[in-house]
Amino acid sequence: MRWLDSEDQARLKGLGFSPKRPHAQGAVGRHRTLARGFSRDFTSHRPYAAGDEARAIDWKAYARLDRYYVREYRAEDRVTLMVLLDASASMTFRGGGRESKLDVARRAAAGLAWIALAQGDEAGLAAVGGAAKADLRPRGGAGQLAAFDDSLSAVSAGAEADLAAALESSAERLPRRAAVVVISDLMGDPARVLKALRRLSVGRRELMVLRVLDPEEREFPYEGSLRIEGLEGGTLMLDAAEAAPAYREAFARQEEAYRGALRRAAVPYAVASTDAAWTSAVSRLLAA
Amino acid sequence: MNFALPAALWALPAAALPLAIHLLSRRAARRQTFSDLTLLASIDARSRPRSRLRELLLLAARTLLILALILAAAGPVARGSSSAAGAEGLDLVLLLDASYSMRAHDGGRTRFDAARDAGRRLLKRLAPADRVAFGVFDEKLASPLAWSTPAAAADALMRAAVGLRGTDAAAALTAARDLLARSPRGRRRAAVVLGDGAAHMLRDAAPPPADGAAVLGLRFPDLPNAWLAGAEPARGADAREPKLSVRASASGAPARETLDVWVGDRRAASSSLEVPKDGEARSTLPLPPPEDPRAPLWAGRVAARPDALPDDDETFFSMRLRPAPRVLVLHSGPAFDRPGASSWYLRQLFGGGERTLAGREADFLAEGRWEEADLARYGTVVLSDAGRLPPGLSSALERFAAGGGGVWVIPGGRTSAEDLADLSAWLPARFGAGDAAPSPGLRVVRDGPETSDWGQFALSRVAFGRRFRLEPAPQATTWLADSGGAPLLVAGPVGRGRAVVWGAPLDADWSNLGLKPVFVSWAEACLSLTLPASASESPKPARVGDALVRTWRADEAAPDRVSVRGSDGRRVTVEVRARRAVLPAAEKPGLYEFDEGGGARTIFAVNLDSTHGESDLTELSSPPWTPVSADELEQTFFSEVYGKDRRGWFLSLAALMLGLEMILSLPMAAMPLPRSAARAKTLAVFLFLLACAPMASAQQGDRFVWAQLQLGAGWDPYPDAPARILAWLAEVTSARVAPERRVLRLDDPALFSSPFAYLAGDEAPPELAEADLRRLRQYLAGGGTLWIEDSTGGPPGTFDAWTRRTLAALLPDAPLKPLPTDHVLYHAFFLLRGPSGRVERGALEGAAWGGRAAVIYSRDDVLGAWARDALGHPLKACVPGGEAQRELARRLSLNVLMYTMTGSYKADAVHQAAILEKLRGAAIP
Repeated sequence: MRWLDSEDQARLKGLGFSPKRPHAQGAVGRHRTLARGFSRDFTSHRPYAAGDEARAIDWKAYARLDRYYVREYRAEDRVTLMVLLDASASMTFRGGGRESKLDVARRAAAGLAWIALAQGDEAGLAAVGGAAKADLRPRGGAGQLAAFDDSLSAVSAGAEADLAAALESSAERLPRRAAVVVISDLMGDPARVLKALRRLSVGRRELMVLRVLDPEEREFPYEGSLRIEGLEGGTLMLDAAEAAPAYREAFARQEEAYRGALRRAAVPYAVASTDAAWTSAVSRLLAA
Repeated sequence: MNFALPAALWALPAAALPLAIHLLSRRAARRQTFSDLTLLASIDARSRPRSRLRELLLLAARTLLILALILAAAGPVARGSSSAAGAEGLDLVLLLDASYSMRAHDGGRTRFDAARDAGRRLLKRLAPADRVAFGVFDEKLASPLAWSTPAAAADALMRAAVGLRGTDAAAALTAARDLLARSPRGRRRAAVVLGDGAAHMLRDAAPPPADGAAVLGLRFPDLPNAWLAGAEPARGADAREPKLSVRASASGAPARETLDVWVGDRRAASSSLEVPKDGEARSTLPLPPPEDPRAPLWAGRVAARPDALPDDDETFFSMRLRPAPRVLVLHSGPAFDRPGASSWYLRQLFGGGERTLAGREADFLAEGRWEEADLARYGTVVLSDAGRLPPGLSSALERFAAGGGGVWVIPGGRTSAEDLADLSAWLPARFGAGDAAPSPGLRVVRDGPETSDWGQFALSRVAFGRRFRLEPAPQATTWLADSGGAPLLVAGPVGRGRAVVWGAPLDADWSNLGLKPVFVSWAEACLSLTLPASASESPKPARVGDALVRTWRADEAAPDRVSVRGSDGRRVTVEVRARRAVLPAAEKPGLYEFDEGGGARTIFAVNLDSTHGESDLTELSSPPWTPVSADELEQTFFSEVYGKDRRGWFLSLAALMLGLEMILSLPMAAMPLPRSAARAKTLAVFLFLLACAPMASAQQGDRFVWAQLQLGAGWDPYPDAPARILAWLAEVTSARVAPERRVLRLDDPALFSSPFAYLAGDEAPPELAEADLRRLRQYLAGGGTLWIEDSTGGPPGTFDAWTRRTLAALLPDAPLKPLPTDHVLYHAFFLLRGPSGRVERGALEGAAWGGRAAVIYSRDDVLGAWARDALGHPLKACVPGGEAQRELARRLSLNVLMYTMTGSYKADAVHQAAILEKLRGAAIP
């Protein structure tokens, strides 16, 4: 396993995710649904009606009440977890000898896939903005994790600059019912990015967003006059001491825009920093 | 601008360093990879113009900082003398003015002392290598200028003393210029004139200064001064009526001089004199009769009040007035007294009494008896109708005239030119042929004091029936002519004396001159022309420094030696050589008495020479030197000669630039501009308020101000009373008061910012002008209350009359009436039964205006009850009631104040119910 080691697995142990919206799907999985079905989770009693299975009758209740009551259980289903990995050029940024954002994103993707597969769900991968097509169709099972890992290795960063457009174009590659985790640095015009995210969450998809950032992007800790070259193209001459406060302010404003907009849309959102454990960001995301 | 270290200026290109660094740093910008430029680009676009400006300012500040530091290091010096760089030493010519104007007192000490101190301070700071040429000058340089050391010059300076002569700085300046022009190249040159800088210092244009030499001169502020310009015999004075004419001048301000004439140690006369500014005034003072009637000699001094320059407020005089000469009229015969005869006119004129019309005493004698007369006793001999003269008379008259006498010849009616040939031989005019039909009328040919006011006479009406053609001698002067231009009155010298020739008979048969008003003036003119020009024989007035010379005429007996008593009382003996006794120099003003033995003496009066305006202490308008006051001389001298060190300027510029650089280098976020703008606004408002503080102090807020009118002499009989009243008012009422009273004149606009004005007096102040009355009326109409108090406490006096008169003019419709005892004033705070004060003089009076008493007039001296001495005891007793009355007076004054503030508030019934209700509510057992 290239992108997930046993330590991270240990840290992720105990985490799980469940979609908030009910699914009515053929495959019986672990996820509770509001549709009643077969599982061990008791929901309620209901007076017997003709046609109910006799084994559903609660005999102990009959003994006490001299009436037939039927025990009802919650149905369980299987969920598809689709990881949408941003492989645009800005994701390759690595500051101060740390791992690149893309690598951290890969690890998080592997971790999420492991969680999903471990609880019996399906996991698939779609890379956006990348050069090579490393998509993996969602599937469950023990072998899927290794395939996922390989796919992650196959993802390579491209020169794609427009994240919002890339996200929108990846929408049709996603299954109609799935939990979609977008792992990206969300660099770009927030309004357009948010619009693209809204497009992703149409239908019966459930969206989660994990933002991967490098501390240098947040804090702009440079000094002196700089000649800044963007990974997605462009060059800028500026004085770091002068630009930093304004940048920090603008960045905070952007972050707040994402956080606020996603919270209002009830989309779980977490930020992973390359200088901190990504596992905690994943757990925040899943707990949200 | 010069530089002490010009080599440091080679570092100037270093000022380009910031620019170079800036350009290099631009090129050497660090490369930095960044993930996404969207945010950065937006920030950059927003901040670019501001940061560009800041960058430029920073660059400028840094460049200026380096520039200023380099220039400061180069030792900048402003305006030194041109040969400043690399000078070897200083050549200084120091000129000290020792004229008497330097004795003027200026701020407690004489200008001479101030100038000398300034010079000493200057010399102290010179280096031993410097050379100083010190010279004292007044009208000329005392000794030639020569170089010496500063120390020697300082010694000479301290030894110098102020003299009593005038000033002429031009010669000294010329000498200084010549000396400086010869001083070697490479030395700094300067000249300092330690004078008073007054306008009299330069009589002519000053020479231009030597090349590259700094010329400084002291200046003193204008000082008003009055002085006595001289005393001489008054016009028309003679031994019988000795009079002295004193001239006084003033500069800077008009002066009122009190003149005292001292003869010996006796004050002979006093007079006062108004001297206009920058003008002259004369006063004529009578002198006492001479000590010795045979030698009518007066010597003494005239003293005025000493002022800024005391030396010139005293002048000495010495004069000898001749006794009025007697006149001898020689007439032709017994008919001389016939009315209309020539001698009869003269008889009428002279009268023969003490005070005759012409001021002369005359004797009348027939020509034939001329030998009986002692001609030497007479000043003038008049031939009233000259014809054929007795033998010897003509030559006797010629001798008489040659010896100093005066001869006046009037031809007789029947005389021919041949008869007068003897006289014609020596008179200033020859009698020519008679002219039977001369042109009528008189014409003044020559103007002189004798004919000065003849314009008033109708000279064309003077007619003659006959007259002689006069042929004036070359040295003679024609004074009068007829309308045809033929000379009629000719005067001229004869030996040491003078003779006057009139060309026509005076008899009424031949001329109407004797009947004309001009006759008296004519006769006086003829008489005065026979006399020497001046009636006085005063020795020539001498100036300080002049030599006094007594010369004996050939006909006088000259002594071998004379003893001279100087102005200080010391005697010296002077040998007489060649009939001359010479005292080389009189160095002090005063009287110098030459005792010639045998009781004869000559007194010279020696005075300060003020003819060149030495006493005029106004400042020279454009002096040929840099004027500088004595206190600043040292500093200015060194900055003029060595230049002013401007290093401080550049260092402060550098500091300023450093501060600017530091502020600009702060990160942008540390400069919240909008907030600092708000702060600046606050600061500006604060500064404005600070600037307005004096104005604000004039504001009183909501406090009651005791305004007191300053009118007349007795406006403030009890200076401490208002403060005591105000203190009590603040204590017992809730009124807020300004602790200090405000003293106002009627034209003070602050009058209108207090509703209450107080006016006290004991004597009638000057009558109010219409403008003042209008202001006062405006004040009362605007709600002001005026409390007038007659502080005499006695029966009605001038102030009472003034008050009633003024109030009648001020408020014609509102007469003063006693206030009834139920007037609200008596209830305004304390409940009083009636008026009271320090004395009991009657009711409080008021002038009703707009339903209130706008003017309150008391004669009980209410404020007198408040006055206390330094120990706090009452200043004046209250009569008749004693301390109880004092308390009532105190209460009354408070009531007056409350009345001015509350008006009829206490009388308004509208409040009574509320007050009673309140009282009931408050009535807790």
